[in-house]
Amino acid sequence: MSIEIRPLVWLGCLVLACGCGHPGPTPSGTGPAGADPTPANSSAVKVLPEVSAADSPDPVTRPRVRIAAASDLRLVFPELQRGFQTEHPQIDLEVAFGSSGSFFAQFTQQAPFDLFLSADLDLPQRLVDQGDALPDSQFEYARGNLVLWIGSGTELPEGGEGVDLLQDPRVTRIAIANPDHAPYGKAALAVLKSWNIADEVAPRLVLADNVAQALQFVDTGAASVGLVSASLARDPRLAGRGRGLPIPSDLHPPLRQGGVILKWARDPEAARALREFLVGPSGRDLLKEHGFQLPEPGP
Amino acid sequence: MDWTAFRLTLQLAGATTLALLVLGLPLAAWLASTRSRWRYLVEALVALPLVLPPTVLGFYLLWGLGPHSPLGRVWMSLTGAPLTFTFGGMLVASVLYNLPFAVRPFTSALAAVDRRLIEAAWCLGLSPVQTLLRVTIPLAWRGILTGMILTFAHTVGEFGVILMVGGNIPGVTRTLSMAVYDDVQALRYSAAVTTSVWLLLFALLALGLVQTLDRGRGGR
Repeated sequence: MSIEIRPLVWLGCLVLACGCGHPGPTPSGTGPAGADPTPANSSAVKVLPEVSAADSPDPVTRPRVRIAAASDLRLVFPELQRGFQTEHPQIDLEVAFGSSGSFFAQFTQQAPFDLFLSADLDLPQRLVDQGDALPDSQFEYARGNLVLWIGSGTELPEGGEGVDLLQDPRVTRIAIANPDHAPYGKAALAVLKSWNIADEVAPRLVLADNVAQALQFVDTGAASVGLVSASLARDPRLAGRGRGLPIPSDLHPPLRQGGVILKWARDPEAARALREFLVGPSGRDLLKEHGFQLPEPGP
Repeated sequence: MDWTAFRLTLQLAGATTLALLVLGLPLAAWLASTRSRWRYLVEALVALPLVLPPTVLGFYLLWGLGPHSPLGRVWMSLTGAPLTFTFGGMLVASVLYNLPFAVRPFTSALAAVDRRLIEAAWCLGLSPVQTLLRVTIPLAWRGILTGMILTFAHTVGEFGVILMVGGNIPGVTRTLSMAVYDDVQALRYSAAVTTSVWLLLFALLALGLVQTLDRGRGGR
């Protein structure tokens, strides 16, 4: 009999656990109303922050910016967020990282984000052109750099040129982001073409979904080396786990990174505040500290 | 452990299991008793997610539910927001993708119930609903519970469809299996290890329950 009862008890626990998760606002405050089984009704939500943000400190109606960020921003973003929130403590930020191209594909399906931080200028411009972003909301916030990241498991001569290292037979797998949809992948491919080794190393390329995954392929030993963003290779957790060889920026078209505010942004004013922070002095300082170059300051 | 993702995963798995109990049981009851020639087609459709690549289903759903499709437009006009990249969109995907994990155990459990007992119940004056509640389900509960556990566990572990339809948005559509993917990409290996261990233990527990149920079936 006890054997028959036990599964029922477990199922009961599971059902209870689900039941407990359902009601009310999320206690941690990180989950928006979308955690409710009924999808967030954006027409209703759109109105709420504008009406009540000024007079109500209710966390549910606090202005919030949902950001889709290129994954080379993974390391700097928490610091940008901290800096932004000391200036704008009333605005919440919520970020997801991925390759710019896959976010772009999601935006054609109206993915619920407010601000897009791309790793190129082309995708934000196309969003404006096709009417998915607010007109004239695009901006340039940084220029990225590539490094050749060599995992500590790969024995390679110190001080060699990148082009020679990649041709070394001990380099069995070269990780890059997918050039189809990741700007850093396009840049990595351009570097290989500038070195005239694109065809030669093609069988050894492994394509990651985005540039952060390319670095992870090397860090886990799945790939010997990777062409990744300089901003990610500065991760203190990578100390002693490999070394980075800067790639001269004239080997690829400049990685000019731009952003845009999406047409369906719930709170465009909050998104604009974040945009101003990113292109303002504090944002520029943080980006520079993290290995980005800066565009010319705007007017 | 990402508790937001944990709660979301439980909600999705719980909602999927309930939805498939409500939708799957009648379908299974029909499959278990019908002699219709459409039966084989329906069975094949139910089994399709077992072999169909999750990305294919995800791709169809992304376009089928998105704001540019007829269905998506109807949804948009009703609710004002697209169904893709929301909990609702993930739930639709999850229900479709888990169809075989619920309906197949349900069907075999219902088919194994002795037909004579059901007919005896009818002769004794029970309505079909009463027969279902008082005869069929008490005899088939092990298979039904097996289907529910498999559905729940499989939803917890789902990745491909959910990633395409849900889009990995923190707090909205990021489930535990996506949190692992994200943690690994961000080099947060210790967080990935913690979540993975819990998911592994959960999967073992679910399979253990299914086996316990299965063993009990013969001993009845």
